[in-house]
Amino acid sequence: MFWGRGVSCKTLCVAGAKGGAGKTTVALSLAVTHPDPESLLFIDADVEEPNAALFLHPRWDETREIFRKIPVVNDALCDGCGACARACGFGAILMLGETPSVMVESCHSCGACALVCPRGAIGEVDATLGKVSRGRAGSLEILSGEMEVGAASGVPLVRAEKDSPFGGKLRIMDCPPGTGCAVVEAVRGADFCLLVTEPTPFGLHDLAAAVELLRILHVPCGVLVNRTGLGEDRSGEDKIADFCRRENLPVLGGIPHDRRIAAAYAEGGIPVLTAPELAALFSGLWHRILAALT
Amino acid sequence: MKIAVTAHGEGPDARFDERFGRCDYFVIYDTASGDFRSVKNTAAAAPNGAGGLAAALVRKEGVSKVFAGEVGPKAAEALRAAGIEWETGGSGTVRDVLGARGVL
Repeated sequence: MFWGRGVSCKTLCVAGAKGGAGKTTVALSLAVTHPDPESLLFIDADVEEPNAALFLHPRWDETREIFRKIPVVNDALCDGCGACARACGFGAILMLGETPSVMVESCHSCGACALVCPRGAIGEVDATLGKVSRGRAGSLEILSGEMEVGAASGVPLVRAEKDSPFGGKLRIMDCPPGTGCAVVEAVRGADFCLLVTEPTPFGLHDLAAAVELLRILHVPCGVLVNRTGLGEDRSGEDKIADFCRRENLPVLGGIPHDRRIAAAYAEGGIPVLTAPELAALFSGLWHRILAALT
Repeated sequence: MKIAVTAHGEGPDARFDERFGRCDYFVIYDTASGDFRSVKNTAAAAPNGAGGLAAALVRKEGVSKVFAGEVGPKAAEALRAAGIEWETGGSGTVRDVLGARGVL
């Protein structure tokens, strides 16, 4: 058993800033159509609302509690200068008396307050952030992170998932929506990121945001357009295609807008398993992704 | 005693603002001198934690009581920690709210 990434292990992220565009559908479909599921680790990194397990029905083998750091102020050392409160970007440490008060729910565990304190009066203690469970669905190994209600940032949970031991060949990571801290942590260091979008103004807008992020992090990416043929004309598809051409982004495939796919998903089914016509699409997609990964 | 009233503008005739953490201004009434002072609520623009930041702001102004439309749970926690009392509800102008509470 290896700790962290094995030498030959690759990471494929499935992301795309818009919620509901089909990230989980695509990530699951990729996982179940891979020719060698035993070489895979499926990571549900959408720790605010993990849902891959609802489709995979894994048997859980292990659950670990994950902690985050929150500041504690040593009032004996603090002189009340307020540098910590000025440094905090989240309003989580406030001058409400002679010494600062910590608003635990707002804290993003960034450590800035302890860093700037000129008197070394701020220490850090562990607080529960959530849990990471490990299990199996048939021969597919799955990790799922789940954040506690009220916690501000799931970054340490995503990090714990990425640091989990895995001796196989490929990790498929179902990323959270948006372009926030948890997404940054999820896609950082990935070998390839598949961006799932849809032919709508929202899909295009959020695709552009995701591409901007991935460019900053130097993660190669390609686009999959879900629900093609959704509108009355093809203007949504054309705009996505124009954007991808301008940005020199490969379009790796499209999934047609089909009520049956949505219905299968709503019943907890993985669409590629219930709609055999999608099998060819995903086998072509794998072909292009594996080419990009090597 | 200094009382901060949440407001949409400056001075005693400004319209009462229902919000605490994201109100536009705090109009602060000094019961000893009868003076009004208006302070822009810099916490209103904070992406999160505005309630706590607003509590720290009024504390810095020496306020010991707040009149606001609503006070959220995080703001309440911060006001409590700062030893500042608060009362919620009201309508009209800052002067109306102070009048309705028997201060003016």
